Amino acid sequence: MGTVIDLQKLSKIYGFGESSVVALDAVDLIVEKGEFVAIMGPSGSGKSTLMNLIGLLDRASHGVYKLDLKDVSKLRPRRRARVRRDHVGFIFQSSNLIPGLTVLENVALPLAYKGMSQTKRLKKASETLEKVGLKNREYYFPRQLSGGQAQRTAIARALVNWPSIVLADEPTGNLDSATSLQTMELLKEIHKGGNTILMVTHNSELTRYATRVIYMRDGQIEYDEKLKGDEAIDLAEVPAAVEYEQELLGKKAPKRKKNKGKGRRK
Amino acid sequence: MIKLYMQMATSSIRRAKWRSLLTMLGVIIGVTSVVMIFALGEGLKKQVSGELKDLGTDSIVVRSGNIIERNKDGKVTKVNLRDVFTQSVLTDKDTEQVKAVNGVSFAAPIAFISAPVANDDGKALSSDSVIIATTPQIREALNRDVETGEFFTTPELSKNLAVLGPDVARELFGEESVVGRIIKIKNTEFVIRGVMTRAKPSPLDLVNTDYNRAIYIPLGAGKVLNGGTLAIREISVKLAETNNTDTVVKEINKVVLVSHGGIQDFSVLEAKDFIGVLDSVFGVLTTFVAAVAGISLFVGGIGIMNIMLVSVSERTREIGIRKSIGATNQQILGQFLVEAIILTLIGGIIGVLVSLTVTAGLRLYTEIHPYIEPRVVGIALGVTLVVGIVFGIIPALKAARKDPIESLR
Repeated sequence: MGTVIDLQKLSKIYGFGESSVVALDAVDLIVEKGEFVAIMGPSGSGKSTLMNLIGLLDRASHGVYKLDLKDVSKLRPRRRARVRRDHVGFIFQSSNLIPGLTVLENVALPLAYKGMSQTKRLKKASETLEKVGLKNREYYFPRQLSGGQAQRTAIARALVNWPSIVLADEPTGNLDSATSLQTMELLKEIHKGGNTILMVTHNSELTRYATRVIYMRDGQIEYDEKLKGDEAIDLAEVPAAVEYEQELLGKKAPKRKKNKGKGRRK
Repeated sequence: MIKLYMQMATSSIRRAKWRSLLTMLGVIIGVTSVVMIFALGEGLKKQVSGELKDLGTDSIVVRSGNIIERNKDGKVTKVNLRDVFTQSVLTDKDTEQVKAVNGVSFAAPIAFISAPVANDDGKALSSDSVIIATTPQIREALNRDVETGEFFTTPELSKNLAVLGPDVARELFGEESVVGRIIKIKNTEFVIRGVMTRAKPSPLDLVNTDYNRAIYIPLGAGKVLNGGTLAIREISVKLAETNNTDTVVKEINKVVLVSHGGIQDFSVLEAKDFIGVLDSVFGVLTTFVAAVAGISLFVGGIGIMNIMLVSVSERTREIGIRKSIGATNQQILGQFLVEAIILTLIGGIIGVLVSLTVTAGLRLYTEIHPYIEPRVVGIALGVTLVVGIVFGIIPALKAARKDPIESLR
């Protein structure tokens, strides 16, 4: 096992001067090969920013990001695109397939940008599609697929170039519970196959597939624990989550008290 | 990579067939008009020079006005179009002198008279016919002959005789065997001596004379008809041999120059000079109209840019996806640029095909014979390519510069 992701004091600040917003606040994180990390946290906690930085869609304001032990934090856009192409696989909430291309062509696209010949890349794509159980849908267009099939196609596309990390941003967010389950089982299989996966989710149930849970708040990692077996995390055991919950309630509570007070006065 | 871009472009164009076609329409019209204008110009030039060749390289014309300027070798260096329309300065004496030049076998003056013409019943001839006052040698000088009857002879030059072009005979009498009948020119009676052989229709008729609609009368009779004087428009000359044209042209020029007191107020033209004159006339015209057509090509390019810009913003998400899976900015740029170029090039090719079809149609069903030079097709497609690049680059840059995170939102 080796270190795949190594973040050192990684920060992302949007805007300038007084109007600047700290989306990621000096985050340190090490992800080993073969880990399945679930990233949780409320909206605006910096999950997406973290994913974008790890996926090299964005550049950090400060800090160091080493991917496969190589510093990629200061790369120029073209080099970043190449690292993204060769080392990162993205799975989005919606499948984000290109409508004009067939399933096979969609899956083969990352290889096309690598300059691989058409026959070679279609063959590879076909193999990957077989892995996700969509061999018989190769020549379908995305609009002809069900939600689950589309997401499996997206997973195949993320896997086709043997990435160092798979980044899944709420991969089941748009799916019903049955297809969610199928998709998660597929991710689990992929994980078992030796892939490193980072998954953002709002659903704590899904952490049962992960080996590690990270809880973020205000651009910082507040909680980071390894999980055993098939157990999901209970957010009640995460202090930051509890705190957040209480804050939410706390904001509402005075209002309720106020109302009650009014009622009493009457 | 180019192959990949082309695959992407064709699939994207195929996906939006109608929009692509409408987008191309501007380019199609532009290319068609450019190609057709050159084809018409070139076709007309070819037809005219073909006819001039039919006329023979042994034909020379002496005209009023210093129409062309030559260098020492006899090559035309300048064409003075204004002088084509000057008043005539040629005289009978010039005709006789030209006739006497060594190497000239025939020379005939041509003077145009405009006067009302009617048949013996008083039926008037439409105005687009022309009365030519001349001498019998006109037949040899112009390579034309009489079909029925005969031409008037030199001793008859003062008699009221007429030889009709076949169309004139038809219009006035409804038939072509009209020898011996009477026509009235300016109310003076002329006896018809003969009817000319039908001449091939010619595009030159537009700028020159339709000889099928000509009435030939003797020079002397023409003078009387015109009130005593007659301006000789040109002297038509036939050479004895074809291999010494340049020498004879120089000799004629010398002789006439002397009798005109050393003033070059006339020109001696041979067939190839006509081609030179036509070239310069068509050249100016073609360039001007092609410039106008070029503007439509430019407008077509703007249309392409417009639609490509719309396409880029419509496909923002696609661009984001492509970037997230590893497309570089250059690759996105390439994809959209190639798409714009292919779009314009297809438009260009369709334009060329339309031109070819129109040309074929015109050649089949009309007297106009446009000619599409391969060079023009090459230039048209080359210009189209440039238009594609120029107007495709801005939308492509816009696509390449899109932020992947924003695009995926």
